[in-house]
Amino acid sequence: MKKLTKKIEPYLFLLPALILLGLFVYYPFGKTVIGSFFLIDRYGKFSSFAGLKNYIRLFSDEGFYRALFNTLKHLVMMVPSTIGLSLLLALISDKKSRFSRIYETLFCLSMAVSTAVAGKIFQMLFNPSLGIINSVFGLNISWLTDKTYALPALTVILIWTELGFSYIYLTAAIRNLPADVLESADVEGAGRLQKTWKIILPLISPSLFYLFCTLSVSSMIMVRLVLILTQGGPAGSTETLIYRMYNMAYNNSNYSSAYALGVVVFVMVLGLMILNFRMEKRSVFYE
Amino acid sequence: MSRKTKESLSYNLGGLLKVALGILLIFPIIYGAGLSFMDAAEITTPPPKVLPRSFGYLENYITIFTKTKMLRFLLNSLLVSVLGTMGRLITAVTASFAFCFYEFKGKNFLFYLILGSMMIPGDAIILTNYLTVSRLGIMNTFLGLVIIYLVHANYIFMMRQSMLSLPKSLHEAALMDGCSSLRFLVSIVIPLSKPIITTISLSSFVGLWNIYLWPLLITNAEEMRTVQVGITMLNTAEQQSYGPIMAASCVALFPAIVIFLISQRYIVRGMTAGAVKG
Repeated sequence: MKKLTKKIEPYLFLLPALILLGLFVYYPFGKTVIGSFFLIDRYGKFSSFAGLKNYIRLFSDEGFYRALFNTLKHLVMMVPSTIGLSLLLALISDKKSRFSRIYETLFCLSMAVSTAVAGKIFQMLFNPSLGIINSVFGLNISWLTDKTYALPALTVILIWTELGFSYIYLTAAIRNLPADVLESADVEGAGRLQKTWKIILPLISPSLFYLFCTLSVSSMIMVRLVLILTQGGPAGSTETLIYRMYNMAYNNSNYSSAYALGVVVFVMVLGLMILNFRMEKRSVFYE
Repeated sequence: MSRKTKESLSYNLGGLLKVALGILLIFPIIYGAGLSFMDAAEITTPPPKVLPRSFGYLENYITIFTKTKMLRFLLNSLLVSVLGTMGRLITAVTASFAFCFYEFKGKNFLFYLILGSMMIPGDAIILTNYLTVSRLGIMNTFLGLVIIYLVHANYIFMMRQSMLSLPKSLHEAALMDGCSSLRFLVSIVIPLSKPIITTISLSSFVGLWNIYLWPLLITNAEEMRTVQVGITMLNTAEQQSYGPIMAASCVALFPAIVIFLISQRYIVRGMTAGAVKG
């Protein structure tokens, strides 16, 4: 009896985590994948097998390509700028000093700001007549209601909210570098730029790749700010893939297409992760 | 000027410049806070101002606490953050305990099954979870609000990393003395894991305080809204409500900033734990 309880004990301890993950991660994942091959009624019930019909309909829909384009455009603007800016901030942050505690906190404080709060504050900043951005730069742009500027404006807000985490992450990576490597560079008289380019960057490349991966994934599934600020508009210029998926499901009860779209997003996220993993293996320096 | 004073001058100057850059970076926060102390006329008269005439104008704050359900929203968010964090701690502690103190069939498989859940983006499966929760009949309840947040693979991973450093022999010795595994977990392992529990609690609390999408979907009764959802819905009430909206945003932001400031060290440690290679 004692032996038996000892045998099942570890499973009992794992049960809460496994049940919850099963019910709220793996079950919805499986249901999305399977559902993408079925016709689904407006209450979310599977009705009949549809083969690839949902996908064919999705891929022949112009709106899908527009959403894909918007999402990729956001990703291309978002990822390099966030990594570049946070890297710059991390490189100018020295070892611990009197000032460093203050500016480090200031550099990463945006991390505590939620998407909703950031959205509301930037809505004021971007306000065409009352906002400070137009007035400081002498512009007259309706940032959030102009087809050309709405998506870049959303990207700017997200860069601001993501900057803190990337900065902290890269600063930690740089501080963790082996001191002797950096010192030997100093002894050999490498300049600051050379030291950064030839020694620090290659050494922290795993961290850079990690950020590239997580930021790409979060850009790929970008939706919250769209819901808060633009609802996909104006003229569909801020409609992202996941926003389109929500719209299909909630406003049109079109679950078949929504699931197919969900699977396309899963595949792209997975593709990004595999790509990232392979690049990491090939070109990243490990000690 | 001697070389030393020159060096310290450039050091101080550099430091001050970086602090100035930092202030520029948090400008949106300062701007939002400034607006929350302005009356409608001050906000709408050009040119746009950053700082209010005086910080004594509290009308916006009074408005949101007397004319909206702000207090209720705050309470809801507090409850969701606390309950969710407790759930995450329980699942992380029990799962890590199994991984660290037992040998059993399928151990590796189950570990990777848990880690693998991080590959599935939550916002992409939220649809199906919404259907599940509405079918369970727990829409507009606290259980519905927190149920998808009771487990977090990353926290299980962090907890396990920390627990691995505890000697396994401790468990065997305790069992020999007739101490049950559950008691061993509660009275020995948990007290020894206090640092990681602190880290997880703080970063989880801020994370849950800031969630937006799920409470938006799962609540349609106003009194069940969290503060993040609440502030995005205030503007539908009145046209010229910029000031109150900014006040509400500041109220929503305040707890997150305070916790972040006092626990930056812990949160940073948690966020970078195990992931920093370089």
